[in-house]
Amino acid sequence: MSDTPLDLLKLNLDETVYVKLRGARALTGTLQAFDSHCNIVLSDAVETIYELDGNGELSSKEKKSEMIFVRGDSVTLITTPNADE
Amino acid sequence: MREREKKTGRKCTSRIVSRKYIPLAVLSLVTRVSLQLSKLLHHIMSETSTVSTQFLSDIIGKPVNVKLHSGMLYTGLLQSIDGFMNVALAQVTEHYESKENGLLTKYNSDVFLRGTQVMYISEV
Repeated sequence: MSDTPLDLLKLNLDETVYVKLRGARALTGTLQAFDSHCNIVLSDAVETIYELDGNGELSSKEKKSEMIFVRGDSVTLITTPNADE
Repeated sequence: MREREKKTGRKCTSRIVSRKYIPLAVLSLVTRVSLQLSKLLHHIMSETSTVSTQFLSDIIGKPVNVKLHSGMLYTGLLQSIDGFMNVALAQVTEHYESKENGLLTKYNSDVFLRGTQVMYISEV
């Protein structure tokens, strides 16, 4: 139980992770590296950007990138994606 | 004779001197001991039992609510927490602002929440 949350994050290295970012964005990709600031490197990443259109309906855009570095301050949540996602 | 006088004289003065200083010696001993005690007490207090650290170590393993600055509310079992308020939760449900607003997501695996985003942590 003495493991810190960042120690538990190590278990997700080389696994597919779901990262929630500020500003209604999310990333899914393989966790290559991270540090104590939550700077993160993902490979085969898909960024999902959620937007409300004029009718107030939610739409989402996807952007793919082979390798992406995410600055820690925009990260809010990290987990492994649910099986149904 | 001279030597004896000298000796007794010395003994006499030394006894007087030592008697004179007994209270002082006791005083210095007491202050030294109390100083050590207060240091020890301070050490114990600062290491283990400030109210906030006690709270955080007490609620490990228990169900907690974690609210982020974004307004998202996460409820789950507290796996671990560190000095940055990074949090790891298990069996997590996600709601906006409060549980009455309906379930948004259910996370099956451990969830890591970044400390800088945390507004509060409360026991359910």
